[in-house]
Amino acid sequence: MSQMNVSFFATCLVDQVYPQAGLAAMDLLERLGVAVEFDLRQTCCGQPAFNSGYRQEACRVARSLLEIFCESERIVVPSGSCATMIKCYLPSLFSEGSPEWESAREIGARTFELSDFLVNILGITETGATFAEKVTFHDSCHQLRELGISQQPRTLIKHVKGIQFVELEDANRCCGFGGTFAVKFDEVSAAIGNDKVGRIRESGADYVVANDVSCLMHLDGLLKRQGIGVKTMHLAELLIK
Amino acid sequence: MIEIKPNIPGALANQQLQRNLKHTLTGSLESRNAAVAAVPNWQDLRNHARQVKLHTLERLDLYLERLETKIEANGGKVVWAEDTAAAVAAIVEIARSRSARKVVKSKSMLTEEIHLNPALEDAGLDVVETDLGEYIVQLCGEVPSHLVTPALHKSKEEVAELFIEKLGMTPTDDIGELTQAARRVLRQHFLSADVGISGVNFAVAETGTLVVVENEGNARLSTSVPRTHIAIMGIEKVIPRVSDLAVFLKLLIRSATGQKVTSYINLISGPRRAGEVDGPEEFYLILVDNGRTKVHSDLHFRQSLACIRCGICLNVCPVFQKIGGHAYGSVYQGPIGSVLTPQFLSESVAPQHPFASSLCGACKEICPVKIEIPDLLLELRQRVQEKTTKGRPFGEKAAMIVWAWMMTSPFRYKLASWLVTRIARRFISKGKPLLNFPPLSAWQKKRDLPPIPARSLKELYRARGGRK
Amino acid sequence: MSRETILARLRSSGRSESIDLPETLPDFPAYDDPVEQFRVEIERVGGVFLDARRADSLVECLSGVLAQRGAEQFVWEGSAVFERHQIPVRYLAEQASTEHGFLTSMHADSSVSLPIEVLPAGDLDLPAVQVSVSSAVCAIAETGSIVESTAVAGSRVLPILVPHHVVLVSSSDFVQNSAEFFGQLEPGKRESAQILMTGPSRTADIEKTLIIGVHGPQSLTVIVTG
Repeated sequence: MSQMNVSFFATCLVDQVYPQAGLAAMDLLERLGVAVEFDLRQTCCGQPAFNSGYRQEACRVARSLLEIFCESERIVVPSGSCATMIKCYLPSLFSEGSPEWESAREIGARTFELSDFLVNILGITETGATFAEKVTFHDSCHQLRELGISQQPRTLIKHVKGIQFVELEDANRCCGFGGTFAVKFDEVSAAIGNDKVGRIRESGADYVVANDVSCLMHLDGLLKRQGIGVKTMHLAELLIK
Repeated sequence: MIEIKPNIPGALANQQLQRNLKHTLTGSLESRNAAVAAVPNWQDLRNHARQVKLHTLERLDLYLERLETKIEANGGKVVWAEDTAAAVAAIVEIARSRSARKVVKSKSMLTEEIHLNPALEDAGLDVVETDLGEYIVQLCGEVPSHLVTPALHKSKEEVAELFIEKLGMTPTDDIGELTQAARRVLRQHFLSADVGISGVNFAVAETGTLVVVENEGNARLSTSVPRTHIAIMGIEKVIPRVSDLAVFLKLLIRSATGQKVTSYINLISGPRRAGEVDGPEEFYLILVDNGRTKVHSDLHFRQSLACIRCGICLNVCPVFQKIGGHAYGSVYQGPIGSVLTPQFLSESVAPQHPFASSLCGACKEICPVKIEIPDLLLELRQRVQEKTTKGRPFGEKAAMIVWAWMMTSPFRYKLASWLVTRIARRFISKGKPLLNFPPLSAWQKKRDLPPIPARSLKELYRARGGRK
Repeated sequence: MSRETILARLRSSGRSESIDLPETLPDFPAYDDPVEQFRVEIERVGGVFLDARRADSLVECLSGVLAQRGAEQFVWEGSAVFERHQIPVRYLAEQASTEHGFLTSMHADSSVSLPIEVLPAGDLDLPAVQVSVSSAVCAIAETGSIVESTAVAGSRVLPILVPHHVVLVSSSDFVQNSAEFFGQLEPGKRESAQILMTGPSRTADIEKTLIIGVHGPQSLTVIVTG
């Protein structure tokens, strides 16, 4: 079988704040026999501007993303939210039928969220990781509702050797991050987040895993502020343990 | 301008409200989920209803005319009202010409929208809300805090205090006794009212039939005991066929209350007829526009007129669950309220509404007519930032322009990245509050900032020479 | 005028794509024994179900309900109800004309062979009436709903105003589900109002606590006749 080539879109937040998650994802893919290309020209998917109502600005950023990835066979993203931006919203930034709209749609169809790529494209359920800890999983909203991905990460997590996986109560509820919502309505965002923190504590898990560092950054900030010892971890970091 | 933000600290600090929201909304959601799980073809029903609604909206003029013709053939009268003033004037005029003194009302959000009660009171009429929740809210001089459960924010102790003060009942916190006290008082109002005003859940064009869904029996009494019945509806409530009611009622009721069916579903096709033993002598239908044609003219937003007011998007919304209805400051609250309010009143009047959402999509997932609420909120966010500077943090637009400028060049991005990792890191790692300016200050009120790594992913990748 | 303004605005706003009305309804559940399904559903919502499909059990059922509710005076929807459901009765008044009135009866001896008085609708002494009895035009198995129509001399308000409501429905008037019901319905053709009733009046407006009998009756009894 010829080697599969993928382009890795790290996302700006992983690049700037959670590089270890990005490295883990790339290493994981390579360990599974995938040739990973990481184009250093990449920046952001445009979601911060798009979600705040600045479509022109989002459009500009999206255009550079299209340029960078137009030749890519497959694009893998370690974020449900950014994958959703590319797959579901990017075309809406361009006028229907235009070459850019076409290009956005094509790129969207070739873009995969990491766990979905592993399970449904590579056909892998086990990454060979070992992690003897009690772990729970947080579904990020875009990944769950727009992409319909919920079983893939669970399958992968449950196959980690030695792991004790527990489900969160109300797993499908938002953690309250919501992009700029987290600072525009910071008190509501934190209040919603604290419900999630409560559920995480009730689960008894020592680690909360998610495939979106934005949710994790929010939850981690709440956990640390309250001095709760539960650690946050990106899915890729777990799968490479 | 209607603001949400100033109401938030109060709502979050209100322990009673928080308890009621948690108890009521969790219960409602659980009932709804159980009721929906029992319907294997729920998605077919949603698709069917959405298709009927979108079809109707495409030909709304035709179906409204058909409805009018049928209502008139049934002996009713139809009044069209393009705005609040016209709707209120029409109702006041009907009441005046009948020398009415007392009006009983059954639940209608539209009458809240047009501020009917104060207008009727100014015209010298005694106005009594008869839905128990609405009655409680009216006695308090408040407005509903939920589409379906108007007094959601009240505890039984608060209701008891209110009834002791306003109805002179003997102290109790037994909900059954409180309900019976309201029943006794309202019974007298029903029997002495001259006009009954009701809302409408669906209006069937092919037969001129209004459907009013309820559990208490107050809608039946309001629409049947007084001499005059005035029904009031937004123009979007019309549906073409009777047969589709089977689908709409199933979707509405299971979503709204988690019941399989409500205690009463009223099908009203005009005033009392010759040979019938009771019923109103005259029947009016007020068809209200009040901004709906504006929404209709926008092909993107037209789907928001498909809303059947079940209120489930409020129940499932993490933001509504935390702040309740009153914090929105508008008649329509929660996710669908944040879609409708800026459209009905303009973006500059309600600039915060589209932003009061984490865009989690739970509303879109649960909506029985599949309204794409998050997508509409995103569109509205764009409109707000294009049309008004209200409700936007100072310098946001400039920041976005600079941000896009940095993000569209690998070099500029690298520069920005260097600044973040080298400078921001120093202050954060030292735990200094030097970075405590917006928007980081908002972040840091309840959350720690993440530790900024010494090297970005790109730098680390370069340092190890690309591929491992 | 508002009418022309609204219609003109609607006509001038653009069309997106043409969307047809769906031709068929999604499936609705059907039952081998619709009456049994109806019983399950109505009992689930606090209604009382009595089976009087055997002719000799009707009088027993009816008198039992009337006695149980302790009613001294109760009101019938009209004389047709006795014939329709073959209830033995004798009239006090010369003729049982119910064109614009109600029949009331005194509940004397636990029997339903009762003296009936004809009263004009307005003369009803409401507080004295404990029970109203009417007949349904239809029963829906899926939801346990009964349907009353003003066309069969049914009152709009009695089923709500009176504390205990009793409905007679013939076993031949059962339909499987609401799709079947609304599919054959022609509202407004013969009557100004119909009502679907499912259990007693209820509210959960205070702290989401279920309370039975708010504006309407505390009990709803459905008697199925043969």
